[in-house]
Amino acid sequence: MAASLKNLLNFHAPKYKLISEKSNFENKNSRHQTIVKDHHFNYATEIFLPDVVNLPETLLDEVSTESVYYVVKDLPLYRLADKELVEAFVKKGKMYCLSSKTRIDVGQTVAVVPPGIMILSVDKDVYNQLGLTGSESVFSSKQKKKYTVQINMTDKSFTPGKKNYDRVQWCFKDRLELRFDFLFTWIPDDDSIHSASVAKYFKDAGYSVSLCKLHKSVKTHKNLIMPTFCDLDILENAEKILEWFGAVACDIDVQQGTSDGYVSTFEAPDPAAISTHFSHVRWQGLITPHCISVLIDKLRLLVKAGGLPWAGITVHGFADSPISWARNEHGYQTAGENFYTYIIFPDDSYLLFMAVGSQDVCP
Amino acid sequence: MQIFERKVQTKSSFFYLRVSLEFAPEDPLQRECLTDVYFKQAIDNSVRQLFGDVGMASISVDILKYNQDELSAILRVPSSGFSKLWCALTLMSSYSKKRCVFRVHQVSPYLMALSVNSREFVHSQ
Repeated sequence: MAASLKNLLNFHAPKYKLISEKSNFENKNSRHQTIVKDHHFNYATEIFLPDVVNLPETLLDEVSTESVYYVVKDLPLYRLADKELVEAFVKKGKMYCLSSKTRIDVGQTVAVVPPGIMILSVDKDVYNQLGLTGSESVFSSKQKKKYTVQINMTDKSFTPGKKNYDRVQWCFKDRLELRFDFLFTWIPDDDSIHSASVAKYFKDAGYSVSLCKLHKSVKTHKNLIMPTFCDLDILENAEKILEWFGAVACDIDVQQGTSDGYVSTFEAPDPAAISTHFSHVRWQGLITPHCISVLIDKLRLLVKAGGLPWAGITVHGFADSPISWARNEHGYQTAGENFYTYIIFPDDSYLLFMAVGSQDVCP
Repeated sequence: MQIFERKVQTKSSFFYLRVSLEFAPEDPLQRECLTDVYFKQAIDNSVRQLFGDVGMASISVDILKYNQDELSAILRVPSSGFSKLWCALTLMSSYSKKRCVFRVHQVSPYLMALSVNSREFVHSQ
């Protein structure tokens, strides 16, 4: 009795995982390409540019114009698992599809990731009704059972006439017809094919499809206090560095010498420098890993050629995505963050912070 | 020399909350009265109500950003006080004899995560 009362009054905070890595882009052990490529669903990306008076407009416009995506309303799952769609688009490019307005902790979520895997995260009742073979989620509990179903749509057995395909179609049509709004984008392998072909396909089939563009916001700060990385033991101070980036992203005023304030004891980083012109750009929507990879390469060139002390890029994942990196399960307990931040230096070295929540597999 | 270092942390020093204070529509408080100092006082009072003076003294809350028009703020609290603070905010029901409620929109051990919210974003042209 005394032990259980003590546990009740402990008020433990949820545990999270922050992974800090320090390496160089030229290092053969560097996992930067895998990390960017495997983080399929990117909701927002932010770049931090110290001492930049004129923003590289071509770089910013390229991200905004190239990253268009679509929303299709009320699409049944049997259409998403249709052989025609798989042959015409899923196998001939990279299809990223995520159910919109669904919550991973209180409902069903569906995603399609390259090379053509459909991932469903469903609760116990839906799993039983659906009748597909899956496995219990890593984060399933006695009170709340969750199941994950993965369907490989590029498998040879996923063809009309074969048991695999016929069963999947029967489950999605006759056992339980699940319908969702989806955010999707497609990068074709063949450059001569337009990426809007998938949107046209759904529109011709009679579904409501709308084009969406990234929402961009730009902020410039004058005389911003920022950390200097050369004198810092970076991995030991990972939390403080990430906190400073968070403060800039949230537009919090970073002052020095307020550690004894009543309202706030938030301190500026130490050691610190002043940036006369500091730019922060954010895009929100659905951004492909390819776009992020190109952006990182351009930032590396900008840092080397532009004389910047460093540049930062943060990529946020969707809070309600069923996966974080690769096919690692992602959940939402008190929060659904799964983001990573690169700080790029002129000598091609970098710092990487990967942050995930309590219901996430360590990436 | 090519280096590769990796470190994994599972405990965070601080937790961050994005909260807002809502008053009953039929009896609103004048927003000009509720400056950041009074907002902090409202939070301290809610903690004192539930955990007493000792509890209040042991949980140090920082208001990192305050929007007086919307009565919304980003708070920072040490991990040891996070659950207690969230409990206290949930159970607060009045300020200056006016009925109110704290809405907790987002929590995270990372301030960076509070800069965006994919659940609230509306995808459009």
